[in-house]
Amino acid sequence: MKPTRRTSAGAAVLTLGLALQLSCIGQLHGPDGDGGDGDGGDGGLTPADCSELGPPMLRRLTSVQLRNTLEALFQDPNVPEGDVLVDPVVNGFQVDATEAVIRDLDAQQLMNYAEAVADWAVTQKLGQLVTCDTADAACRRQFIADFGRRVQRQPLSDAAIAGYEEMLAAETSFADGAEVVIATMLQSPLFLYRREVGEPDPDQPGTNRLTPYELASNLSYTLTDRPPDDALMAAAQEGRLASVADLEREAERLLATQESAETLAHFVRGWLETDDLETRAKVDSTNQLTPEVRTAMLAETDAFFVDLVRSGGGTAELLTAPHTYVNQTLGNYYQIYGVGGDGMQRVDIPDGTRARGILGHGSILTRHALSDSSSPVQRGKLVRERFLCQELAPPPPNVNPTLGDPMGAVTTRQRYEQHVVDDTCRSCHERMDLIGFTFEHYDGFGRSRDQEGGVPIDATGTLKGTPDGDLPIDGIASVSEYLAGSPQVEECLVRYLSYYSYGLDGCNQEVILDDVRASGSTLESIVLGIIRAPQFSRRAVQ
Amino acid sequence: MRKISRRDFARGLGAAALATPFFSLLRKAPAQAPARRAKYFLLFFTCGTDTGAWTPVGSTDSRIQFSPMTELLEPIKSSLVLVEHLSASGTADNHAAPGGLTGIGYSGFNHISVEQFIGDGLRNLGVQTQIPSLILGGVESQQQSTFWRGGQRLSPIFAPQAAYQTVFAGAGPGGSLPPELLRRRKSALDLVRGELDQLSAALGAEERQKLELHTDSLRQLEERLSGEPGGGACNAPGAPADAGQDLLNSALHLDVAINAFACDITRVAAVEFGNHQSTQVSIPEVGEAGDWHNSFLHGDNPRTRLVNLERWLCQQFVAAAEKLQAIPSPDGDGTLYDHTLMMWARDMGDAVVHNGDMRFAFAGGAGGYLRTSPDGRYIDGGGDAHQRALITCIDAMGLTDLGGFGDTAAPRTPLDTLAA
Repeated sequence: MKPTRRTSAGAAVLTLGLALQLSCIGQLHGPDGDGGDGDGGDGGLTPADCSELGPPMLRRLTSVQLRNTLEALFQDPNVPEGDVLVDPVVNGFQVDATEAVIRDLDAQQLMNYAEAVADWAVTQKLGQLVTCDTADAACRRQFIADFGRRVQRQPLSDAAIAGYEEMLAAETSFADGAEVVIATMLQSPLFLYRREVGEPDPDQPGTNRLTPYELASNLSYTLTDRPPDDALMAAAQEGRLASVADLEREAERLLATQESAETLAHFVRGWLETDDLETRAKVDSTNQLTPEVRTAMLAETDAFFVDLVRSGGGTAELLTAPHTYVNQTLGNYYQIYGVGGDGMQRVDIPDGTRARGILGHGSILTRHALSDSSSPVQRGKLVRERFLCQELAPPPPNVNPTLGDPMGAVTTRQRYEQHVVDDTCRSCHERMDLIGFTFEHYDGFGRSRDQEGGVPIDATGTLKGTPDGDLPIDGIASVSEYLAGSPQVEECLVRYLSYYSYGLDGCNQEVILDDVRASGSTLESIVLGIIRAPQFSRRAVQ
Repeated sequence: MRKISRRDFARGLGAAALATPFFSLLRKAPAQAPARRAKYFLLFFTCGTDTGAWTPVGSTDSRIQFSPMTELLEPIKSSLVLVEHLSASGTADNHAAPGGLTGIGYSGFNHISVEQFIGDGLRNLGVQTQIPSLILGGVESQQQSTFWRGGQRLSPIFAPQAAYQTVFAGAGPGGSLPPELLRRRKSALDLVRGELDQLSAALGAEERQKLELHTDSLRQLEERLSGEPGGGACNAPGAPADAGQDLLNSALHLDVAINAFACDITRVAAVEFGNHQSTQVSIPEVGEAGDWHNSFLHGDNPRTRLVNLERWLCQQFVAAAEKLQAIPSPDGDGTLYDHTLMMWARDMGDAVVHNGDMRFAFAGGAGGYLRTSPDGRYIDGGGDAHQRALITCIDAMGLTDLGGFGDTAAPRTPLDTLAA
């Protein structure tokens, strides 16, 4: 089959780990790929090759970034809402640098929205945006330069200022002029795209180094999904974003912010494919899985991951940490008592309550399940694809994957065992279901259980195709323990987190991994390794 | 105005003929019979189904014997044709496969879905509506769009309010806008376009393609701003409120699309119900809430909820037809329905076992294009190429140049059993 356009990048990642020779383990971005993109061949936009260094590029703001940017620009959370900029889902995330474009009716939608925001801004915020006497030409020019600098995230050229001055002067009042200027600036490509273009680097011919302002934007959007704050803009202006140490300093500062926690949480929800947990159809006859429980489940995983990034944790802690985060609602749901209030609090997991590590989180267990029961297939697939970066091929055509109801089957496991008995299904499903069975101590709502329908839970399984052969496993703890010791998990996280940061798959993978391993193999070192890597601050000139 | 006269010209002489050189057109026109052509194309797009449950067993070319899954289509049977057993030949045998609307599989090139191709074709014929084609609906986090253009997936407008804004508010034709607003907008667009040009200069060819799409989008906006109000004597509807659920929102999108026809803002619209493997369904008449993919297609046994969901979709399809029937055509000739071709198409054939054994429903007056029967028509495609169904729509809209559409190795003629 003709390779799809992302295969080469994905293949590069596979070579980092153990490339299993499994018939059902397909290319990383095959024609279906639950949550994948399946690009459909050539002819469209092609992701840049960034295995060594990508080209100068523009990245359209995501809808989240657009919203955050407007709120930062006007320092007001009440900026009008707008359903503009759709972010295609690629690799489970909505950050793709290639697929996110402005096309067809987008310009119309953006114009409508920019006009609505400008109207609101002039009505509500003009006094905040302009404090000088607008009858004075210097004041009007200052407004354009100051507001424009924040819109474009770099100083405006004299020619650009003059263009906006002319536009403003064409109106009969300053308010009208300001409205036109604001509406225009919000449709500007210099607002709507992050620029990763750079300037020629005399020390390295053939490459561009991103400008200080581009680096400031790259840091802030990568780590906070927001425009650069005053400190970053000042650092850019004053030449304090020149070295890797400068980038690290600012990155560490940003990583400590609440905004960065939101971005890391956004990553973890995309990585674990839990983002839609709050809206998944669920049929819980006990009515225990309330909206509040679902929200708390997501918050648990968010807090756990962010804390590990900030506290020097690595993949071993991610998978086996003896603590988690709950509020009163989730604590009661988990039968971990003694926590009050709505805020998430760190708790040690009492023995015999929940599995340790992220695989024991309700968010994963509930999302990767059917509406009324668990799903060994989905849970096993999650481990293969999102922790080991082994993407599984879709079922072949003309095969009915719907399980029958075997005589006497009571438990979910008994039903799914049909998959691994049937010759047609076995070659793929033994890679998933035999892992998924070890999650059976948790039902489709993330609740712990010892029996199903009166039958004791059997959580034994097999991890097929490891470097040491097929390994017997029993319970989530055994899977987590295996993964905690596997270098593939770190490689896989490097892949997903770098994709999330760069918007391109397969950039500088070996460089980042070497850096991470030389820096203690922490989750934070993955984030910093991505920022230290060439792709973050340099571009190859064609 | 040029576009009106050109449109009338097309209707009188046979729009297909406009693709030919002008003088040869004048020579040939008198000899041709009046063409039976649809003026509007409404694509109703859903996920694949359980084909066995869909099949209207016992149907004939002159009578549909509806299955329980399809029986709610009965009210429009006199203008309905059900077609099954068309083969996608490997291009559409999985969820959100590209071949359903393009005829081309994953390994192909330059995919373009049928509604985009028709929108382009109409523009080439001189039909200058404000919006060439509308694609609406889907789900909020669209996993994998099945609409394509230039080899790239397109994102439908998801939010009904956004669709409404785009179609009826804001950008309306220049002729209907205050001159001051028009001047400001044009001034803004000039500046934006200049900035785009400057940015492009710093980029390589691949990256420049992104900005070319942006520039094209601006051009489309400028054309709209330069145009005159559409020919339809329409009342723009009120803005819809979010229905709180993807499928219910898609039903609202059908209204937006139909009203866009009524106002002659576009001639081509697609509304997608559900997408790929990510559609949650919570509709009382369907049954217990669940996931279309995991529960209804691959979980339930028997697939009662899938049948119920398809019945609900039939109701939406019929409701759209009835709304079209209730609206006079903008040119005063009958109703919108009389001039509309509706097609219910899918991303794949049998979604339970994953194959490309495709099913379609065609409906509408279609300007007399569609051959109908008082009790409905059923056609067994016998494994014929499914892209012939797509090409039938292209043909029905009066387009004769198929260049760039579909698989050139597969049969490329309309289904002759469909045309009157």
